[in-house]
Amino acid sequence: MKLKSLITAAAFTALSLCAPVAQAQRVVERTVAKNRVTVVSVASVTEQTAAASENVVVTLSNISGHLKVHGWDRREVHVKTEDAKRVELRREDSSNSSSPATRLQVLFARETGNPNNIDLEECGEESDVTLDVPRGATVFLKTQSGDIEIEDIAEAHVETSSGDVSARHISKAIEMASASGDLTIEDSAGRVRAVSISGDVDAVNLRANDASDFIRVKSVSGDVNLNRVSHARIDAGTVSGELSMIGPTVRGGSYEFQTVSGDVTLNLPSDASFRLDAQIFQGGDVSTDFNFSHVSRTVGSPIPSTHFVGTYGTGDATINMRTISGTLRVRRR
Amino acid sequence: MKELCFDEAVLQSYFDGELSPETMQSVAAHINACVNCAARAKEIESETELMRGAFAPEMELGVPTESLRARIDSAIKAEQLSAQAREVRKGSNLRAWFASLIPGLNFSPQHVAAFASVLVLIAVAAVFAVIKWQHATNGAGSTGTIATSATPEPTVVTPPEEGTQPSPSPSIENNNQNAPKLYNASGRPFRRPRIPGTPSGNNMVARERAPNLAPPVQSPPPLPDEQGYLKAIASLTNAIDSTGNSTLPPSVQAEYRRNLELIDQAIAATRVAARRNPQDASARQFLYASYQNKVDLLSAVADQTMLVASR
Amino acid sequence: MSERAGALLDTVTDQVETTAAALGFDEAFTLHHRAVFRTARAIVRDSALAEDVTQEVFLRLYKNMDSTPGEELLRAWLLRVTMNVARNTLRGQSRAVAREELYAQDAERINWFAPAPEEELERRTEIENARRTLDRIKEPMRSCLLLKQQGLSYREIATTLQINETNVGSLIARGRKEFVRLYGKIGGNR
Repeated sequence: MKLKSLITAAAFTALSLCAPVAQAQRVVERTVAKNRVTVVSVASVTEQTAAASENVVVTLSNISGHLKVHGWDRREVHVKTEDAKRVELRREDSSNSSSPATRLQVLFARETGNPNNIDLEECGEESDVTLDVPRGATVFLKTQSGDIEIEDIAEAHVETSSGDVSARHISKAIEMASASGDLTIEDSAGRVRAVSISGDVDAVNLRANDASDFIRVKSVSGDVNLNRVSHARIDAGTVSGELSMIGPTVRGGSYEFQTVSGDVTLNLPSDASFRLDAQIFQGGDVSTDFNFSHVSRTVGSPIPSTHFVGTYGTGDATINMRTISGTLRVRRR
Repeated sequence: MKELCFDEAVLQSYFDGELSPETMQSVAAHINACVNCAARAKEIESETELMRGAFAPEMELGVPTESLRARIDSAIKAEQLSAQAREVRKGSNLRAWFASLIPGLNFSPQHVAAFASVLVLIAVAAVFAVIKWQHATNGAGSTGTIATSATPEPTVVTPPEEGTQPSPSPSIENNNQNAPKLYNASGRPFRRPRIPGTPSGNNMVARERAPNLAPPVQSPPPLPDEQGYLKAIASLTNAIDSTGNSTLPPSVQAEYRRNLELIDQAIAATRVAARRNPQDASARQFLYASYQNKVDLLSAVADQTMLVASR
Repeated sequence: MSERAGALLDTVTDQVETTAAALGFDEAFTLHHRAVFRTARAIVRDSALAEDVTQEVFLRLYKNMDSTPGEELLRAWLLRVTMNVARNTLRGQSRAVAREELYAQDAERINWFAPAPEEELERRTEIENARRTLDRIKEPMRSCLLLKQQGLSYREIATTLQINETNVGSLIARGRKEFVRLYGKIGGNR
């Protein structure tokens, strides 16, 4: 008796496990009335995979859960959500459906009750999403509030309202904009543009791929920190937050630091070589650890503005600091 | 309480950045050296921070900019309409004639006043020439009276407003600046004939007795690149206001407003410096940098409002 | 001579007038309306009334564009008018309205962003504490502190309140000490 119930239980369990697997194997062809697009997909409830070229462009919008984007070695795009909602990968390119996709859009389906009438929209999803793409892929992401993690891909364009964005091992370019989230880009190469309104921006261990690559990091009220950034053109600014840079300067580099009321602190190695041009409009002060070879310090009037110009070493790099009322510090490590 | 080496007020002024640069430096040096003063300085710092924190919630409350702008615009329009209505009621033929000369005038009283001032200036210039000729022949004594009494009176009158100088059109003020200054014989500058309170004949005398003649408002022409920035700022502000920055989360709105105010103050201060020192390139650079900061801020906020609005 | 007349005639066209007028007044509004509104609100303790005061202040500016100071002291002029108008507005209200009632109305109207209830309550309380503390400080120190909070320089404060600039520093210092002394005693501990 016991054995029988055990077997029944086992069979039952096995059957219930099979059902989603069976679903996953089903191939469905369906015409979506709204968009008149034939969606060919593996109609999994929670995940999708599509063959893609190495440089595929993937767009994903309007989720409010967390998002993780990973680069992998397969020539495939794979998306998965944690919730049991439908997800689709829609081809945006016009080539025939047998070749790998070069443009894909991630869509979440919201079931409106009638199983034959599924609205495919890009609308808000509370679920967490994982997206795996080829390493040469470019992603366009627009989210509301979830955090975003991006690793090992070529190019990313991110817009979010309140989520934090953390990117690592980007190989070509990254662009991030947030209202209140913190932005972090680390161990990457290429062009960088990161703008936040109230979040902090951190740029760590970055290098340029060629001389035209620049890094532009701005926050309105958050802090901006640069650490070991070897781009030749750096443009960092904040209105009321603090700006700091740690690291060597690059030969021929051009560095621009701007604040309205925030302080700027540079920590440079003692073998740095640069020409400093620091201007404070009102109040504030310039203080440096370095003994400059040529120094001129003028204090304007009637408004007490300060203009400090100094050369250290052979003056290879140019550092321009400008603030309305902040304090500028140049420290030696 | 430990003894201060100088007045509490000096320390306060130091913290508020209100001392001259040399004094700032000497106070700073002293604070570094003197234990008592350093301790008091720390106290002031923390007290100031306490106050700032106490007022912070109130400062973070929003300012209803759009509502205010709308209200003020309609109040001004109402004011213009009633000023015009007053003029029509006065029913001066001369005014109607002036107005009929140039169609499409918006502010008839002011335009008429401008025309009157044209006539006056022509007449005054003629008188000036006469004076000069007379001066050459008669001597200085009589020229004063001739100068003062020969000015024809403007025939336009607007009723007094709160006892202050009326005619709110700044462009006429520009006339004042663009036109060369005229001086009567005693060396005091002629003022463009203001509309006196009473329609009596002796306007010159009334003007000379008018109290509290404040200096004319400065509307100097914008610096070369300012217009570009101003346009960009205007269009970005428009974009933000039209999509409604109320779609942004409250904390972001608060940061936006707070920092916008900071930047606007910087713009005001740097503009003053740039205009005062037109030869100083770095003063202008600060102004342009401040404008750029504003453009950057508005761009970031505009992008965000569109991001939210596109959902 | 005729050149001057010609120049004057040119400047009397709509375009220049609108541009210059619009630029000057619009600039003034953009730069200063926040300070005007906040100062008004700090005195009348009511956002709707503060809007009324602000409107009146800028209307007066519009009417008197010619005789207001330029640039630096414009804000001081505006705030002086603001304080006058605001105080008149307060006096115009029924004298039966006790201070406490003002606080109650004030608390109701602080709802710009409609945040979460707990946050809102805490925020209202903090604002009220700061305002009540300020109320207990005598003039002219109170006004000095108020204007300093709005970011005015000593010169502007002196112009707004029509006091000697040399006194502003000590007034602020004394006001600050008073504020700190009284602040902890009102409301919760900070």
